[in-house]
Amino acid sequence: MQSGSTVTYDGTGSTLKDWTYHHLTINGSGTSVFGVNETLGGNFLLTAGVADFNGKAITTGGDFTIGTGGQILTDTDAMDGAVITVGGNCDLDGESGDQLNFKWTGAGAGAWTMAVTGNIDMDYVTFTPASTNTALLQVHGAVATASNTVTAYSDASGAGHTEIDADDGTNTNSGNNTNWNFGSVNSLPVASSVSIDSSATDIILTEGTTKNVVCAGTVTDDDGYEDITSVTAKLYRTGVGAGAGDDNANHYTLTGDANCIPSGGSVNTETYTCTFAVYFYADPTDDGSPDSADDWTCQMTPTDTVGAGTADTDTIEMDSLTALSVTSTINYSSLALGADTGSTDQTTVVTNTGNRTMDSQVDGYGSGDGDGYSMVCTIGAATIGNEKYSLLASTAYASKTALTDTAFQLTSFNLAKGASSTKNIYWGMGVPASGVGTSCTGKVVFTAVNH
Amino acid sequence: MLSHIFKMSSKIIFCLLFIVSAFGGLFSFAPDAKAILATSSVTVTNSLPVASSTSIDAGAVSVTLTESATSTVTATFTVTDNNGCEDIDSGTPDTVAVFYRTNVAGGAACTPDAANCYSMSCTGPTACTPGGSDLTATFSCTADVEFYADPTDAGSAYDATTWTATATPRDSAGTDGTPNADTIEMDSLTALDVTSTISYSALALGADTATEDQPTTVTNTGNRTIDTQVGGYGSVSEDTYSMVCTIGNIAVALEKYSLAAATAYASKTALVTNATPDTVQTSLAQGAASTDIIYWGMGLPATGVGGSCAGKVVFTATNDS
Repeated sequence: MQSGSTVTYDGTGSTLKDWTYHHLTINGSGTSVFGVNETLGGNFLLTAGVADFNGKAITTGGDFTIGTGGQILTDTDAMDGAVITVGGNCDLDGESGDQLNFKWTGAGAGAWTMAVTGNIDMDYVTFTPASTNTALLQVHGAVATASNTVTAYSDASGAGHTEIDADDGTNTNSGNNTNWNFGSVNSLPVASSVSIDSSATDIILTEGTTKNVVCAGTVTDDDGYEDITSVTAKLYRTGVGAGAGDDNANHYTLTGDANCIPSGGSVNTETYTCTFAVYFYADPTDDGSPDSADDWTCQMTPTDTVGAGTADTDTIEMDSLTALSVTSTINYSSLALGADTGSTDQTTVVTNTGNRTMDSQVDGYGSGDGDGYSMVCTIGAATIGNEKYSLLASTAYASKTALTDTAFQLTSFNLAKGASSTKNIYWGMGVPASGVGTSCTGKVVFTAVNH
Repeated sequence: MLSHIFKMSSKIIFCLLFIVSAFGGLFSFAPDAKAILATSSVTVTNSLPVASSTSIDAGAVSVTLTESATSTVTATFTVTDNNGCEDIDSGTPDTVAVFYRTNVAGGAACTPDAANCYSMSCTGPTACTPGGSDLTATFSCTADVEFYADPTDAGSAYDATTWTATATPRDSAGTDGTPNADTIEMDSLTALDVTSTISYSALALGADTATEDQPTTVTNTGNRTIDTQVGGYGSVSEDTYSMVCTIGNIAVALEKYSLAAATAYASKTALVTNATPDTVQTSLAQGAASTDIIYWGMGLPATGVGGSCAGKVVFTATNDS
């Protein structure tokens, strides 16, 4: 072809004509096969379609470029025997998720060869043989760079050959590469001896508030403890998994040195202590609880300057906490002898301060448990049944349930656990027709029991 | 592993608990119970007390006074408080009782006056069993009634009325409850006291005391306005003498009296035999110290008497006419 001319193959693929090309461009949709050795006076450009070098010798006077739309034949021996000699620069561009993949099986060293007079730049390229045979990569230009490459059995050595600069941290050294600079080899940190609350068997929560749960572990980094960046600790009900989102009921995450305190380290190890503020309504896993087949896990994952290392875990039971809090006073104001509160209520708000769905038991006494009174007065006393309650507001006094001096379980109470789970009990009072006077006081006992 | 062992143990314990509960509540066990106390309170509106069964002097029909002294009048009554008997008198002021002439100004709210209004002194409440089951208590109140308290019996100035004892109960509220009352007649008491001696100095035969007086002070010791009857005798009632002497006797009329001081002997009124006494219009009112003076004079016969003489003058209180 005339010098300066360009032949472009834009069809669905074929064997290239046995011509002498100057510039050769493949921008098709199928596989373009080199049927013979080719010597180009100018550039080779593959922008779309698949190139099958077919073991031929391809020589360019100018640049050799495979763009992101191009690909190499996917056969495992696709590059076997090929010798690509580039007179200019070489630019090989794959894409994330679509690596430009050079495959070969070959025989011995030099299964295929790429020799570049100028510079080479590789991005998202894979050199992966199906054997232990080596491909030769000979770069003479001052600049040889690689990013996001996965490389094995690539020999870039030889007199005057430029080292391939692959130390930007994005490349993967799959081994047996020569004259490639992947930078120093990082050793990822490893967590071990993770322990929850010093290997306690269970967590005993604190009603109505948080309980500190300590997850501690040892992190080892062969690069030295200084290389450890931090740890991420997750405390979660095992069944929900480490990957679940944070939820005070079942999943907590702490990360960074502000939350997971490093010990200061020595040589290759450092201890991290992570303190979780676990809420009173965290899922119980002990016997009788809804998740009794489950337990809780602390997973500690260390990271260093390169990435996350190896996690370690410990497990523990979360004890049931059956508890409540309640309005502390029930004040009926003033009532005449023989009068009652009618449908007027005094409301007690019962709050579930534990981690079980609960019922409330109620009973009462005047001055001492079991005395049979609801209140004792300056004069006389009111019998226990004179004080009444209902789960429905504005229930008439006569229809309310009389208080007893032995605990009675409100089985329909059914108060779920949660951050602020409340239910009301409505109270009424009747004063005897005679025999009591002035001020009266008593006690109502609210007892939380599992529903 | 430890937690697994614990879980196994817990299951064994749970099974044991189930077995225990299956035996009809032989044991009480609530390992997951957590009790919280709430304080309930109510203020019971006060029920005012009610007095009843008031009785003066155990149902007597009248009060009999004691001359020149006091007589104790007692009123008893019952108080009922539906808040309980210990509420009675638990505040200030306490339950009170007033004994008064029924028609006195102000009635039970009268101003204390020994003639017609007494604030009684009360003892109580008694017979109260605390605890609310006993609603009643009793009181006993007394008044020391003076001898000049207004009479209300027939013929007296206030015979259209009576005396009343009104009991007013109070409790912790300090407010009057429902009062109760009883009435009684106050008997008239017509009585006097008088100076016990009338001593004339020596007189010659045929002489008299002229305007010189020997006074006797008459004191009304009852509750009626009184006149004073006077009569005399020598040694034996109605013997027609004023005095009997060592030698002879003196006729009753030689002893004389006057309501005016320094009345000449001749102008004084001659004493009469005590068989038919004269009434001196002293009109002595009732009161704490109501007195009048009767002035006495003496004359001797010209002959027939000698030595020392002595006799009696009888003073008798009579309702003022």
